[in-house]
Amino acid sequence: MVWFFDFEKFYVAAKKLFFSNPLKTRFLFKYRNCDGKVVLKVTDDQVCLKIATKYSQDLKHIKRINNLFIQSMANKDLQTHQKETSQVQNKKKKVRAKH
Amino acid sequence: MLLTNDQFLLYLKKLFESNQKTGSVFVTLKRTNGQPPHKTNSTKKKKQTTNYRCLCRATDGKKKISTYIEHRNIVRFQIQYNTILQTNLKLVKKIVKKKKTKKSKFPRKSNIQKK
Repeated sequence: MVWFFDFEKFYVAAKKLFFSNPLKTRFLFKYRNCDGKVVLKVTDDQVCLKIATKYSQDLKHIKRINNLFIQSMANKDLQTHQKETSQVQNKKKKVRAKH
Repeated sequence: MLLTNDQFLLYLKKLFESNQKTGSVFVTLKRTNGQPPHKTNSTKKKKQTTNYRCLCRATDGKKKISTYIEHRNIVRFQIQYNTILQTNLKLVKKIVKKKKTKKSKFPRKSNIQKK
C-alpha cells in the first residue's frame, strides 16, 4: 500500500495504473461523516495507491479523479480517450508555462 | 441489488444520510466487459461482443446497491453524482496560519543625539 500526500501525483499515478490494466483496476471511495474523512484507493490487485483527506479544499481534486474514472471506465475506445486526455493535459501545461 | 442509474443515485443519497452519525459509505467503480473474469467452457464456444460499461457499487457495510453506467449516460450520471458529493461531504476548512514577521509595525527610534 502506497500512501500519497499530493493529489496531482496521485492523479498521474492512478491514470497510469488504470491505462496499463483497464479491466483489473478498480477505484474505491470511502467517506466517514463521524471522522469527516475521505479515502481514495486505486488498485489492480498488485499495486495499491491510496490518499486521504479531511479538507474541503480537496473536494475539487476528488471530483476530478471521479470524473476521470467514470469517463474512462464507461468509454468504448480507450486508446483514443487516452490520447485525448494527454493532449488536454499538455495544452494546460503550456498555458500554465506561458503565465 | 442491481438498479437503474436514477434509483441508484436516490439510494446513494439515503445511504449518506443514514450514515451521518456512525458508519462509512463505500463507492467502487470498475470497468466491465460483460464477460466473467475467468475463462469457462461457455465463453470459449460463444462469440461475444464486448460491451464496455462502468460498474458502480455502493455499500455501508450492510446494504449493497449497484448500477451499470453506459457510454451515453456518462455526463448525466457524473453531474448528478457530483451534486450528491457536494451536498453530503462535510469536510473541514483548512486554516492557513500567517507567518509572523520579525519586523514590528512601528519603527524603532534611532539613537537621536540629544542637544
